[in-house]
Amino acid sequence: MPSAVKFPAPGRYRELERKACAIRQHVIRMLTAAGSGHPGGSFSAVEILTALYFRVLRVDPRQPDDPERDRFVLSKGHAAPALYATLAERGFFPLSWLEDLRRLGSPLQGHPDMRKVPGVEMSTGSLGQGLSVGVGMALAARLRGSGYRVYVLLGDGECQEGQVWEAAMAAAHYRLRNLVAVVDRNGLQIDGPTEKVLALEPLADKWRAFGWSVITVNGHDFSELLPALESVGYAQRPTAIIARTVTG
Amino acid sequence: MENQVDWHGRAPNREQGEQALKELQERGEATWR
Repeated sequence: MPSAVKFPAPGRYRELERKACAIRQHVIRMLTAAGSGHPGGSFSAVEILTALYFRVLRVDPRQPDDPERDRFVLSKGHAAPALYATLAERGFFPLSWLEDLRRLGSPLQGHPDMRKVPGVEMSTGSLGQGLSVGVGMALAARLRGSGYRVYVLLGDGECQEGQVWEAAMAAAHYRLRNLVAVVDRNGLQIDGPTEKVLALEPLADKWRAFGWSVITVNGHDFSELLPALESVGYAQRPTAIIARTVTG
Repeated sequence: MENQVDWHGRAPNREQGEQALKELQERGEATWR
């Protein structure tokens, strides 16, 4: 089981911490109004998404289709409320859209739809597929001679899917140094603790065995998250960030 | 909600949502000090 994770005391990243707090408040309002959804896995990903969209990702909400933009794939698509709140705060669409989560006709459905929501790079929800998409995006960047980076956020329970490891093997084979997989290691999944359902540990060693550089961080601490997320490209291999988090 | 499996796929009811918002607002105020 992952060791206990603590939320750091407010510090030098106050603006990011305030943003994360605002995103959490949006998520609670959205889910309460919708009457359905996934709070646990949404909350565990908030600091990761905040760090990405407010510091790391080279994206412009005014040009969501810029071919040189960094890509982000929410492979754990059930955390869509957190992604929507982050995208809205970043300016990809109005905050008012958040009120219509999961309503008939709303672009903000329970899992992200790339055809309907500005800023969503891939439709997800069926677990295990996002890293494969990320591999394709990263390869495309190389073939085009483009400098964009690709970040994929996976759930830890999702790493029980075989497709994740096929994608991991391919990423290392093609030496995709522009690809980062962030594993939201909150220790829980729908059927219970991950280590009781299908044990993942030693998870970092598994990613290393598949040829990835691996960094383990407190997934709620910006002082650890930011250097890890920015480290992409320094190694001649893809990077896996195991972000220890708290669900809920 | 923290570390509770039940909250993986269950939305809060109105009362729980209000309680959660209150806790988040108090935490936010601590950040803003």
